[in-house]
Order: sequence, then structure tokens, then C-alpha cells
Amino acid sequence: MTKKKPRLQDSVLLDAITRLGGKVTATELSDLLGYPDRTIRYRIQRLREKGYLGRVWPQTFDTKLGLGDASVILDMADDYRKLPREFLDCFPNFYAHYVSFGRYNGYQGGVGYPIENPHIIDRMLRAMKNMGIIKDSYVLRTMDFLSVAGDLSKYNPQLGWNWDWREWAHQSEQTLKVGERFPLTFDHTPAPFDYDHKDIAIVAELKMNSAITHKELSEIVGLSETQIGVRIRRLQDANILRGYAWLTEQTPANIVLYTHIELEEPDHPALTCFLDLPFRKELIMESTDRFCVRLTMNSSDVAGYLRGLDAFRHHFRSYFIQYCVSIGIVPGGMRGFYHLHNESTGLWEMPVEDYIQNLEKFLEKHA
Amino acid sequence: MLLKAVTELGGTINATELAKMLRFPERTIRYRLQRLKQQGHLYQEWPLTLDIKLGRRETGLFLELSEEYRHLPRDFLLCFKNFYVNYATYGRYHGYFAAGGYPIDEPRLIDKMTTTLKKMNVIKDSFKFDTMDYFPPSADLSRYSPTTGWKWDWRDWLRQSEKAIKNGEPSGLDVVWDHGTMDYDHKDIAIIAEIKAHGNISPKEISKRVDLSDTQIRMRIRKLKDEGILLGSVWLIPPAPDSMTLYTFVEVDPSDDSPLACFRYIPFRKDIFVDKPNKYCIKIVMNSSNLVGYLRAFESLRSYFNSYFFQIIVNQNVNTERIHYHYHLHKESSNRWEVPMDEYIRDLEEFIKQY
Repeated sequence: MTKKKPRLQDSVLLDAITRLGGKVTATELSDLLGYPDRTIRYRIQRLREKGYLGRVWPQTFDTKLGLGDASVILDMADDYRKLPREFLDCFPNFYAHYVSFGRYNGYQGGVGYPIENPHIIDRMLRAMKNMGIIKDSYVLRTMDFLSVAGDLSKYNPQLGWNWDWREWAHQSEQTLKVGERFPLTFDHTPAPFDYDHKDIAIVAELKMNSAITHKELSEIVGLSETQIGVRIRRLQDANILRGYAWLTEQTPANIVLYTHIELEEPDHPALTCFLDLPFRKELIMESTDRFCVRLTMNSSDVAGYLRGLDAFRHHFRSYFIQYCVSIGIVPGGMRGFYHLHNESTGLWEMPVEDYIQNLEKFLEKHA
Repeated sequence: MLLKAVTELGGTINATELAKMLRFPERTIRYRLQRLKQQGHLYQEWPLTLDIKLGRRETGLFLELSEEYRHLPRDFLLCFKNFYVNYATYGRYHGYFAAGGYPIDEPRLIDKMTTTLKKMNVIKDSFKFDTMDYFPPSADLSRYSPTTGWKWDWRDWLRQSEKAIKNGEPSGLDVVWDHGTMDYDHKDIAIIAEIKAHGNISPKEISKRVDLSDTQIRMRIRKLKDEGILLGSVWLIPPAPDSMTLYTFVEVDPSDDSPLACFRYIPFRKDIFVDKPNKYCIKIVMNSSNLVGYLRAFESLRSYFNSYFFQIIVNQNVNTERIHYHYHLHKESSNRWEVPMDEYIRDLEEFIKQY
């Protein structure tokens, strides 16, 4: 008779998910921890009910749906330092935001814009600056992004990431010496995709609840189950729907680091160096020489990361790091955000002047 | 256990505190610390000093390198011999941090240096923090256990801090704006130089290097302590892979320093530097696992400050020779601190040419 395996500790499971950057599938976890897939799924469900885990989040590339995405950082003016964070809600297209520290101290987050009207971001920021709310800002528009899984061979559920910054620094030196170009490709000219409001409604519902069934989707969106299946496959084939990720930003030990870099030349090996990090990473490209590397890591790994960066940071034309905590989502959630797409006109409608007026009213109330 | 205690206490704790906590005689602790030092686990004992009364102002400089000179070797900072250490730094400024000093009667010297660096386009921005007063509060050892480490929750800190600030609790920092000057000569500074460079050097050893008798050295050390120049000492440790030094710069209203009360409740050892009546810097050495909790709590505390920002330093080492040299910028012949900035700037120009 085989000995019964000890009960899987919540803390062990949570730690595994957290340290894996919050982005790992149940199957990967089951292989790693040596418990059946079913057990893992059940326990994750339980953890979610207890409020430990955020939701599973479908990663989407919305540019092909006519929706531009920008990462915006706001450096708050000293005069408005007591302004409640809710002022951001005046902009329904500012769909998620963090408290952000570093070169800029204030907030940062994702802002959507109609792809044919990128200027609304500049308009928003100009208005905030004129009102004296912010003293500075930074914008990175997503041209494409890559999500690279963590290196599970370097991960131990009890001890966390088994990595040594010295090794990373050494690898980076080699990478730079050899001149190893960035091996992955970004899509610089995304092919157009023929979409309608129903595609967007599907994405919106998936963002609200990734575990939603085709049957439920068909009732909400008003399509047959088969049609839902066909549309989801189409979204996947067009590389719009890019898989699922766990959101664990709110787990106590995690911190999100955004390293913004400008390369000396396109595909410079300095970008390759980030791939040697064991954590899950997201590389967001604005242009061939302007990137942002997003890392979710355990706070205890931050010192090692910075130590490693010391070794090759001078290879960036410029760079800076933002340290982010406390995520907030726009009221109405992602469904509200995606329904800024108007069904009758088939357009993304973001009346930025109205938003600015809302902000003015908000300021009056909180002056 | 001794090493763990020294490490987790931020590497900055003295033998007396350790003896009390670990319940061993101070002598034993001192002996064992020496052993650990010989084995390379500890660097040295680092004397804390406030040199203002000796005519020297401590200063910290954060430099953001320009794009053009981003490949310039860090050694360019060695041209400025009035700075004794330089480290890579991250935060609002991405570049280098340099710590040094300058004669109190030449307050424009550092500005001259940064203006020139800017003109030469070596840096694009800089931030200077002068030390007008300095407080090294020791760690709250009641929250530390040698076996289990720190018992500490940053959410408690937030609660305590908000309560303290709302109640208008004073910061507890009794800042002295004019320390005056002690009646000193070159020998006092030579003694400090020896202590800084060699840690717990005995008066007898010092007397061999500084031309004074044993007794005279003892008397002078006593006087330096009484004047509040020698403030005690702490142990420096080789940086653990996950340790970091976090500087928090805050501005408060000069008339109301109560927001600063929050830092009293952080149990780790900290150094508090004061520049102007509204400008403070809190330096904490901690395991980087604390960063997220600290920032989460600071999210709610930041609105109490007129402004704030952070700087992080990770790769640190101490060059005792350079510190020794630094103190000998005080010249016996003139009994003055001599910082020939023009000469340093010429050295830098030479350095850049070679590079």
C-alpha cells in the first residue's frame, strides 16, 4: 500500500503560484508539486473563493480589434497629493492602474484609445497638466507584446526561484559579448482583422470571467454555441486571444516592476538579457528600440534583479524602473471598458472632452 | 546565530546590543565578532560620526548620467577625492550615488562640481543632500528574535503611523541647526581617520600612527564622544544577495514635522539625515522582501508629505583606504580642509580624454 501523500498546504500552492509570476496553468502546477491536476484545480478554486487569487485573465492583443493600448505613468503634482485615487475613474478608458514609485511617483496603468485617434491620450495628459494635477507623464504605446513563461526548472515550491544574480550578470555579459540578437519576433505590422461588436462582447465577457462556458456566452452575446466556438477559434488564430494568465498582483509578497528601456539599435542584445531571468516576463514593444519589460516577482528577488542590472545597464541608451503595488480596476470592470465600443456605430467611442469635464467637476468637489 | 542576528539587524548593531539580546557577556560577543571578521563574514566596525563640529559637512550626491557618457567607467568619480564611496543607484535618479564631504565654509563647492559635470554633459541631472544633523536610532530589538528573525507586519506600521500622525505626535527628532565648532586640530581628525579606516582600533594602536601618547589619545576620544562627534559604532556586513539600502527622501512643513513620527515605528535600524528644516532622508538597510510591504504602506502615508521619492542601492562595498585619505584632506599645515575642486575637474577632463 502506498503511503498517503501529505495534504497540499495552501501556503505551498500559493507560494508556487506567486513566485511563478502568477502565470502558470494547473497542469504545470500539478507536474511541479506532484499532486493530481484535479486536486490542484479544486484547491485553486478554493483559494479563489477565499479571495487569495485574482481571476484568470485572458491575454488579448486588442489592436486588431481597433483598440489601441498605452501604458501611461502619471507623476503627481505636490499640490494634488491628497487627491483621492478615484479621479482616475473620470476616464473610463483608464481601465486598470497601479500605485507607482520610481522616476515618476504617482499612478500608472493601461489606457485604451481608438486606434485611429491616438491623440486622445495626449489630450488627457495635457488637461491634467493644465489643471496642475500632474507635473510630468510618460507614455508607451503597445505595438505588440510577448509573454514568456517562467523557467520552471529553476523553481522550487518551498524555496522559491533558485537563481543567482551573479549568474544572470555573467550570462548577460556573455550575451552582450557574443552579440546575441533578440531571438523572438514582434509583429510590427499587425494584419487587419475583420471584427464586429460581437467579437468584442465575447472578449469582454472572457475578461470578466475566463471560466465562462460557451453556453453562457451564447446567451449573453446572442449567438449560437457553435458560432461562439468558431469566433473564439478565429480570435485565437488571429493571435488576438493569446492564452490565459493568473492575476496574483494582489498577493502580499508580490511586486510588479516595469523596466522601460531604449535600445541603442533595434534587436540589440541588451534586450536578450532579460530572457535569461527565470521569472515570467512580458515584453511590450512600442517601436524597434523602445520597450518595456514587465516582471512580477517576489519582493525578495528585487535586490538580485537590480544587482544583475548593474552589470549591463549602460548598454541601454536610457532606462528607468517603476515599482508598482495595489492594482485598481475601472468601475464597471472590463465589461464596461469594452462596451465603449458602440454596437450601432461600430466605433470605439471615447469622448475625451466629456471625461475632462468630469475631472473638472471631480476637482471642484475635492478642492 | 550571532551572524544571523548581525545580518538581519541590517548589519548595523553594536556589541552591547548583541550581548543584551543573546545573553552572552559583551567580551564573548566582541571576541566572536572579531573571529567572524577574520573569516570574512563581517567587514568591520563602522564608527558613526557627525563631523560638522570639525568643520566638515557630509554630503550625498545622486547623479543621473547623460546618454552620451553612459559607458563612462564609474571610476570617473574617483577624480573627486572628496567623495569616498560611489555606488550604482536606482529610483528617481538612475546612475550613481556618491558620499563625501566638503569644508563647511565653502558651501558652493559641490554645486560647482555638479554644474561643471552638467556643462561637460557627463550628467543630465543631480540631487544633493547635505547633512546638517544626523540621528542613528537603534533597532527595536523587542521585535527581533535571533531564531525566527523579525516579527513585523508593515500593515501594523501603517496603522501605528496614521494614528501617530493624526494625534500630532512629535517626530522625536531634536534637530540642532547650529552645532557650532569644536576647538579641534589636525590630530583629532587624524584620530577619526584611523577609527574610520580600522574600526575598533585600540588607543594604543592609534598612538603609533598619530603622534600622541596613549593617554592623550584616550582623552581626545572621550572629548570627541562628549562633543557628540563620535556617536558609537555598528558592524558592516558583506551585502547578502537579497539585501538593499533604501533611501526615502521626504519634505515636510518646517512648522509641523509630525509626519516624520511614522519612521519611529519602523523596527529596523535606520539613519535619519536632516538637510533643511523641511528636508529629511531616512536610510534603511533591509532584506528586499520588505520593499513591497513598505511601499504598500507608504501609498497611504505619502499624502502626509509635501513631496517624497526613493533611491535604492544594492551593490555596496567600503574602501577604507579612501576614507582614510578623505580625512587627510584636512591639512596639518593650514589646519584647514582643502578640497581643490578645480584640480579635480582638471583630473576629470584628463580622464574623459583618455576614455
